[in-house]
Amino acid sequence: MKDYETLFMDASKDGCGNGCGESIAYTFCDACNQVPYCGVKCYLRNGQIVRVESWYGFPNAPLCSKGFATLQRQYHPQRLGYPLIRTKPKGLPDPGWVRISWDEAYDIIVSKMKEVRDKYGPEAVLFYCGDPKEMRPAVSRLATVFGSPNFGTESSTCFRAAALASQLMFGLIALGNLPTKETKTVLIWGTNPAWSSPYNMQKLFSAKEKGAKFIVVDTRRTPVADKLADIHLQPRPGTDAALALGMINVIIARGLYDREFVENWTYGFEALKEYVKDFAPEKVEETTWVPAYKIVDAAILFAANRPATLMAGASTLTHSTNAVQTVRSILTLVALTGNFDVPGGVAVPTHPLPFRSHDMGDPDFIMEEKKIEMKHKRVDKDYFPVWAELVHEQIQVNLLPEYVRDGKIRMAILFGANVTMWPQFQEYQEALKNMEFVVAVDYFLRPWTHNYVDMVLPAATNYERFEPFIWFGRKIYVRKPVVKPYLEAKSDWQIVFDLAVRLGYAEEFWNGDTKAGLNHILQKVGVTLDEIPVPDGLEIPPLGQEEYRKYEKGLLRKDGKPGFPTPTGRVEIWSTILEKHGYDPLPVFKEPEESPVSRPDLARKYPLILTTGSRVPVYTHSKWRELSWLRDLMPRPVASINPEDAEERNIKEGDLVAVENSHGKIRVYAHLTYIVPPGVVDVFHGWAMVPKAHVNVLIPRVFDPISGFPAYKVGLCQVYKVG
Amino acid sequence: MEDCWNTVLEFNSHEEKRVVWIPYVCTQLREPACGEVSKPPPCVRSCPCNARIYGDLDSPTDPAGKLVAEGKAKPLPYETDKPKAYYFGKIPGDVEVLLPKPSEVLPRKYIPLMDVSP
Repeated sequence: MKDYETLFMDASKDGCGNGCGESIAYTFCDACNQVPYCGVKCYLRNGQIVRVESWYGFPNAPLCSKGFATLQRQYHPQRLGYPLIRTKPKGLPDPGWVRISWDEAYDIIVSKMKEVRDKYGPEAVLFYCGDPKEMRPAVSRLATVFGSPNFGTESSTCFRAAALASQLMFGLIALGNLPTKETKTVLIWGTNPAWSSPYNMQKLFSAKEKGAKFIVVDTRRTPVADKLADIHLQPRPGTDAALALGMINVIIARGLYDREFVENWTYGFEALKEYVKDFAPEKVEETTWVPAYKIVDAAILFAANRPATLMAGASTLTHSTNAVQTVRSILTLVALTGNFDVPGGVAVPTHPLPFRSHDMGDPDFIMEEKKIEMKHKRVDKDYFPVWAELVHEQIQVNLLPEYVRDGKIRMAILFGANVTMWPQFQEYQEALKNMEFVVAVDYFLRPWTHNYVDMVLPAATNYERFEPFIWFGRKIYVRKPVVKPYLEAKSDWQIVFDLAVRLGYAEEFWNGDTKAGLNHILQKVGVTLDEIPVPDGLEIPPLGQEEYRKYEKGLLRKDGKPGFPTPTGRVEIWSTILEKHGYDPLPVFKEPEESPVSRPDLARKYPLILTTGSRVPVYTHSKWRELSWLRDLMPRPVASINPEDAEERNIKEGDLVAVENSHGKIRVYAHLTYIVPPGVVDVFHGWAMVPKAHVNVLIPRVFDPISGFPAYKVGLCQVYKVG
Repeated sequence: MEDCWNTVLEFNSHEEKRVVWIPYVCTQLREPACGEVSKPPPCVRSCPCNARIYGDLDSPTDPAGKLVAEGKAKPLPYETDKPKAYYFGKIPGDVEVLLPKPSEVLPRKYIPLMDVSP
């Protein structure tokens, strides 16, 4: 492993080291939606950024292609520079955008908010954050102060269901972590960091060099499976729970589980033992396509070669109709093998900073207590009661068309929103259209979303804004604006604070001073923004030693008693919360709603399994098609198909093909690759700018009953040549 | 954006039924396009997976040269009289015969933004 810090950190502050007149600045990248982000080092000349490179020494480095391309975004001629309002009624193909001033824009938004509040109550206004996550705390706080519990985010389709599964099991969010020096086995389930978090790859290779064993579970032969796996399991999409239960069957049958932990700290083991009798490896092989011997090998390795950690996909496992239970079955593996909160296992930090990484905030700043008081006004409470009970900070927004149809949501304030992220997105476009007023904040005009809103505001980029601060463990990093905002673009935080002041919440929003707002959060750790140096960051000293097996010491529960912060005080393999709400309390396997097993009638016509929403190295979802530096690397929408399936259909690389199922049809180009196994077609999402190429028209609006997550990864389809 | 002097080629190995990724760099064709000869060039520094090593191939004490001396790395196609690029790892036979001349793939041409609607 190379020591990048010593090799490449410049000795002088002078960019090129020989007096060339360049200066250096630092920011964090927001090209994808990771939290925390990667570091960007910028070289400036005459107030312009001339090049960027990795901020070596920053915890997440080096940068990926998307990070570099943020420079092209910064100076892109089509960036949004002024507030725009439509002059033509919604529904016409051309909104007739005209420029207005910020004052006019704010006045209109504020008067609409007051109008909707007076007519329907504050809860009829939806506050929504898409991508990135940086503005979440500010927007969430505004929602609470305004009196609406209806604050939602794109986590309605991403990380939150997995986190919810962990809350149900452990009473806290623990979805695994990178291997440490103690780790002997790494279980990577449904994630491909080579493409989704490239900065982690060097750490994983390093663990492998030091002797850690890798089990990779991924339908596709990804770079991570190819380069790291000692055992690679390739389940049929949507059958991961069956695979996990099969591994549990082996572990229990062979007595490889941690008896002491199971006896003292888990709830529902006997029922699980009974349930997994149906998941003998040979039977699981039929369901999952994974050879029985590999299931046995993986189970033995994971249970016996301890400590083992888990790295689970934030959204892959939950993009099915059995979302929460799938993640629960995998977490059950962790619990049974005694790998929870041990050194080198799935540990939870002993002294985390009092902030929450998944919503980039602080429960007090977003006024979570008040959100809980307003629970009865949540629009999702009747549809997804478990989510509404445990996910205090945000609602489940996936039923937006229903919320609008029923008159519960009348207005929306959207930051970085993309409606084509939803299955059957036409219904969401229609929902935006039918609201009384919708305002969106973005970097670019994106017609597939903005043609259905009333106003669009220009957002400042990560080179132009300083909010918020970020942290790794106990180390806080801040940034300063590198350049002035493009034309009239403003930071998301500033937009929120300006609106708040005009709504009469000057006191709650520090008279519009975002820096004061951030300093208010930082008060908890006794520092101010200005005291944190750039680029060094500031380590807040821990309050004590790092502890493990915190459940034994009473460090996990608020009441200080030993155990877990669940209703029974134990790891709830049998979830009393799910039981209370009438769901299956065990981590059960259910076939996807549309699979060759559950719908043989459909499978006759559409014999291939359609999986979507996976990551590629150059795009984040629908973002960055504007940037030719990236689009050059992936210029066209493609369907990845195994060469054997292609040959059967007389399809060659680059052929124009139709991907069709009972929900719709798209036209994309064929990419023949052994990354996908025979029988599976992988279509990358987000091609909203190319007509008839967006795969979400093939995804039904069928949701996981517990979390409300859509089944992006478990469809059926047929592929054939056209044109 | 100028044309790009390094790329990663993706091949299907039908023999082994897997995908193989092979990096191609400017030195297979010409002197470093970036002009950086004394320190690790940008293509090495920016590789997220740390897949590229830069060094003296003739020196057995150099981390890159060591792999060559130990016979663990094989030369990729290159122009004569130019510095070489070696590949560490196994290239399936059916892919090895497919490896293109560097001049066929480098520099990767910049494609201007265009309408790609099917």
